[in-house]
Amino acid sequence: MSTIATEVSVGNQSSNDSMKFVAESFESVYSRNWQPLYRMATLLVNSRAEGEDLAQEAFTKWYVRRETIQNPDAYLRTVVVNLCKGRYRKRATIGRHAHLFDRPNDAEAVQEPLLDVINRLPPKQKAAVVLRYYEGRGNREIAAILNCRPGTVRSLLSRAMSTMRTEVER
Amino acid sequence: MSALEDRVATVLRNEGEAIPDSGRALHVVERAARHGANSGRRALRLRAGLAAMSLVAAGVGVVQLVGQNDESDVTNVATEQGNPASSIVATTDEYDPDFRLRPTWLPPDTPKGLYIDSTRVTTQTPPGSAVVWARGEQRASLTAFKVFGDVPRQSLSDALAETQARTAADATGALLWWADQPELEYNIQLVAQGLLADDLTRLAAQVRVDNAAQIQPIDPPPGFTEVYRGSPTVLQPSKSVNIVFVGSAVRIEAVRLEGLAAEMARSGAGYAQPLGPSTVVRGRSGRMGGANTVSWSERGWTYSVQAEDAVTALNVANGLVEATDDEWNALTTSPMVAGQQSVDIAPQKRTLELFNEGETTVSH
Repeated sequence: MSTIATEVSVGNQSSNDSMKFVAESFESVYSRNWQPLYRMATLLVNSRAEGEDLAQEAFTKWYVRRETIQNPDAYLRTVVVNLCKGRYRKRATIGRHAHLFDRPNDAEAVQEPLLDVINRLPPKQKAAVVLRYYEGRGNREIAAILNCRPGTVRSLLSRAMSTMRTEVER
Repeated sequence: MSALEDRVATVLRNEGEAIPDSGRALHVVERAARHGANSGRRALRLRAGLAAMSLVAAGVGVVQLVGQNDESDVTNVATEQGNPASSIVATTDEYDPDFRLRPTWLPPDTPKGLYIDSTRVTTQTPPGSAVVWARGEQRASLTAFKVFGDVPRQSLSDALAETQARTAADATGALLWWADQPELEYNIQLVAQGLLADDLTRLAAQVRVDNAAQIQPIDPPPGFTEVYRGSPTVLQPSKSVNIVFVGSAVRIEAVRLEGLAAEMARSGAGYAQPLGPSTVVRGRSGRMGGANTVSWSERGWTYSVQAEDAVTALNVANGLVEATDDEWNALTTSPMVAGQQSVDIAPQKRTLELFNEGETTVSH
């Protein structure tokens, strides 16, 4: 069982003036966030293996800073989205050299044309789309995660929808 | 919500629901977090990677590096458990004493070098795999290679022994072949130590890297017996340079420096001079942790491969990768930087320029 869980606490309460928080147990944060984060990451990067890795990386980042993070759920989500954006940048490289490693590409064949379009959206637009239409989050929340203004979120979504509309009607 | 929006939501919801549950268990994620798996054991893995490439160079066969994605290394063991199609094998290190799939450890007094493991690491080790340990200064790491075809284990041992012998004889040089930077983690990260020209040629052919033939020998500078230089066109134009030092002057100095490349271009020398006075700093740096060994001279950065986190630091410093806030903070507050006499930090560029003004050693 979790050894970290022994460090448990009440979570999300300021324990002193230095803004350190008694970290919630790993087990608790994991049980609440792991599957949703993994799914969101998988949607964003279109790969289950990468989705798991990115979700895990978010947990590692949280673990390192857990005493300074008041809201682990929000932190984890933001980190995952940012990691996914970063991962997009690597995609081109991976693709070019995939033959060297013979790594299975678990991006399964896309059956749904619209999903194919979504997967081809620019990273930030896709993130906005997933956060809005999969996670059901509002503009302000998405803006916080993407570190932009709500107006930018509206713009991202508008452009994404425009692209999807064009592609679907084609 | 428009019809299209409805459809998008439905498609994403269906897709999300179709994703099977992650099998990555709590203890796996937790352990990785505790041990900072994401910050990597890069250097040692690179060293192990060179073993793999050496096997290729020795004509053993086609080798598939597995677990080269560092954040996958620990977790894939459990994740892939029960998946016979998987070729992912653990990479871990001896600092993880309670790793539940602990392999056979190298004895603590094992000299640095590469070792083939005569035993299977775990039940997840795929048939036909070779398990290679890389023993560094302080740590050992292992990696496993899936070898295609029926390759006798003895052949692997022989090939590794050959590489080991070259390394031990210090007829060493190094190839740090950063193909297609700045994408560090997924790049072809080939560190080949002690590879000679023929090996390199075969290596290049085997791994089928585009334009690998452009790696050419150049006139060696004093102190070097052989130097190879890869055309920047192999990599990203103007951003990379591949150099192999084969000689006794430099044990292993991987050069991947824009500044140095520029200097080389200006001087027309076509090679890097021996390092001369350099600074070696060891320290811990936040999440990057571990013992860093970073060397640099007026001509630019170099680093020792045994310094795992130096890879991160180096790449951040050279602007090859954009540091995250955490990385940046860790880097700029680390003894590695803080101990320097002259540091010019340009946060807006997320790059560092460090100027060496003499020997400085910071221990932490």
